[in-house]
Amino acid sequence: MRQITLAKAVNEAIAEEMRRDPTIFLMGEDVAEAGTPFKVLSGLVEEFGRERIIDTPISEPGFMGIAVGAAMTGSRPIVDLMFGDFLFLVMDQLCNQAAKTHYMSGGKLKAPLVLRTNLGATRRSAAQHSQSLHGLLAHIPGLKIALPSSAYEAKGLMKTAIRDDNPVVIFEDKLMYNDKAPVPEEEYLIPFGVANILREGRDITLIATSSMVQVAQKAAEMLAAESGISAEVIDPRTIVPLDEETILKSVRKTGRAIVIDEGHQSFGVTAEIASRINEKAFYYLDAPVQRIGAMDVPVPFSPVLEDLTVPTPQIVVERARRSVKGELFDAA
Amino acid sequence: MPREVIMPALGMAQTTGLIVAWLKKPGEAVKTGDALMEVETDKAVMEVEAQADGFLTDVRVAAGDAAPVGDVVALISDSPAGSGAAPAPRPADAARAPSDAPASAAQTAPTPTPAERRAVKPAAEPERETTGGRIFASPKARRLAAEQGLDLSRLVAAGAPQPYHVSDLETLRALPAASAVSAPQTTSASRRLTARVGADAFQGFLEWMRAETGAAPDATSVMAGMAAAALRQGASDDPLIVAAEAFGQSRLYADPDRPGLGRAKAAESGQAPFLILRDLRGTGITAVWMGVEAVPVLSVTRDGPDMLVTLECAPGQLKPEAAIDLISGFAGQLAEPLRHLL
Repeated sequence: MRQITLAKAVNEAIAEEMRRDPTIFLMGEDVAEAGTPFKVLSGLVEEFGRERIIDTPISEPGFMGIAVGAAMTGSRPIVDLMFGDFLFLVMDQLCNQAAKTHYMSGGKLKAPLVLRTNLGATRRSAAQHSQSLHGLLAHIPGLKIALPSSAYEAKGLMKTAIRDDNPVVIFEDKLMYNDKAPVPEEEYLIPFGVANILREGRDITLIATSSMVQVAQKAAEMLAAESGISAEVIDPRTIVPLDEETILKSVRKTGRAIVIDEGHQSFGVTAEIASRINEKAFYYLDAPVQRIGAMDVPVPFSPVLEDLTVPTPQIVVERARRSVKGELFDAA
Repeated sequence: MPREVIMPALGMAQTTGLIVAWLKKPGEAVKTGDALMEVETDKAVMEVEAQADGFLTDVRVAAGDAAPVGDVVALISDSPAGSGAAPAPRPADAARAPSDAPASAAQTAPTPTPAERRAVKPAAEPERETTGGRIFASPKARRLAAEQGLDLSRLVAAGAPQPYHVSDLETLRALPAASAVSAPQTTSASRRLTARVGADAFQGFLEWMRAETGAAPDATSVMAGMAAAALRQGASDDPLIVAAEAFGQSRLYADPDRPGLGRAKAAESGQAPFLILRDLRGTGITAVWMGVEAVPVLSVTRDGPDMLVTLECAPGQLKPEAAIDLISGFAGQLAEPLRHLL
């Protein structure tokens, strides 16, 4: 099968959907000729023209509001938010308007829009361009949150997001745009709320999102090679909706779990998933559920410090080993 | 009475431990928590603490020697002279120095025979008393112990370090007393009766109690009261001890049907119960077939919207009509809890 980059996979997904449905248009900063700073959208303006690939001023609240209105009146907008950190600028349009339109209109209106943005640290972009804010949005009912972990996932999830009648926020990891993966030529969609078991295991379940799936995969390889520990790796793909059943089934089998996500650890995605495991698989747990998130600090600009704030395979391996050995225990 | 010092399981796959050094001399006073000996496993040398107050005596395994996990390596006695008869003068102590040959038979504490152990087993409470309070174990280990009728307090007594995980249950199963207790008894003839009742009434009753008292009632204790009342039915006013087990923890109640449901008082430890109530509703178990134990056992399990009550006993423990009265009385109270108040 051919291998393409994650950037190319997203580009293909949007182009295919725009060819299929003329109500789809895309807008954001530097999306047309520039094709975004990550060159994800290169070539789209040439094919679809300036009417459907729209460069906006630096005015996130403005173009997000336009998108909500367009979605309510029959279009299917895709909004490109250059950095996930800029979500704070569009909170009202996204969380108070788009997320609640369907509910507050008694089902008469809907807001079928896609907000594509990014997450992830270690790009040396400093504290205001390195955050992973998906957990913040997952807290708001009415939004769906997709976290692709490879080029294959990115294409299939983007096409599903565009066809969904609800507002969907899709976070790509900004360090993965050049990562290649096998992506079929023929069309496919990946349904929301169906987790992917990337590796089967016996001793411990690693639940990981976005680029942390790579971290978990690497950790699982190291655990198998160095300690003979068999780890199962699960990518939920979407955290809203969350495929609880697949996670619980796995934890009931292994009796141990570590949840890995690049959002800040406190009050985040790891906390939510760990809590559901505790509530629904308690009597199957042979060790406390572990969380590994990003450190609760602004992402440092210093490369040395920045690298210390995010989960790594070594941290996962260490925690998994201690968990399987029965060492990790806080009785106090 | 001397307490045994047992070679603990310090590692998951450990079968023996090497005593690197004794940190107390024979005859020396020890307190609970004192470092008693250094034990080397495949990974590390660890200090093992004393589990009781007294005097270190009857050292059976010398420093430099290994002993199987679970073996008695020494005793902690009430007198410096150990389990032997009269206090011995110091020279006698020297003869028992760790570097010397294993202690003579006269100095060895009498090990309980299987029969003695059996008699003590249902009242396993004293062992837990000495280790104090809550046992730390994973939820899965606790559930499996409950499902398989294993008593985690025996791991505590054997000196296995907490917390316990599923892997520790193997050590528990391998402890010698377990087979001595269960093997000869499970083979004997038994009575087994089951009853099915809807779970709603009992659940509703608990909620009513919560509303009345402002605190969530202890369901197992409430059931212990009902079981005691059913056992007592029309019979004696003799004190009635019920052992209630839930999630691998065992509690002993004296006359739990008397002070009002949910307010049962703990019995003095060491008393043998007349009945064991095993609350297995929090587990996935639906059917129980454990065989005869030292006293009649009432097990309660969940089966969909219903609760299943199973009574198991030896023919010598309850006559047929008494067994029928007990289970039907208990099931009747679960189905209509207000009957208990009458």
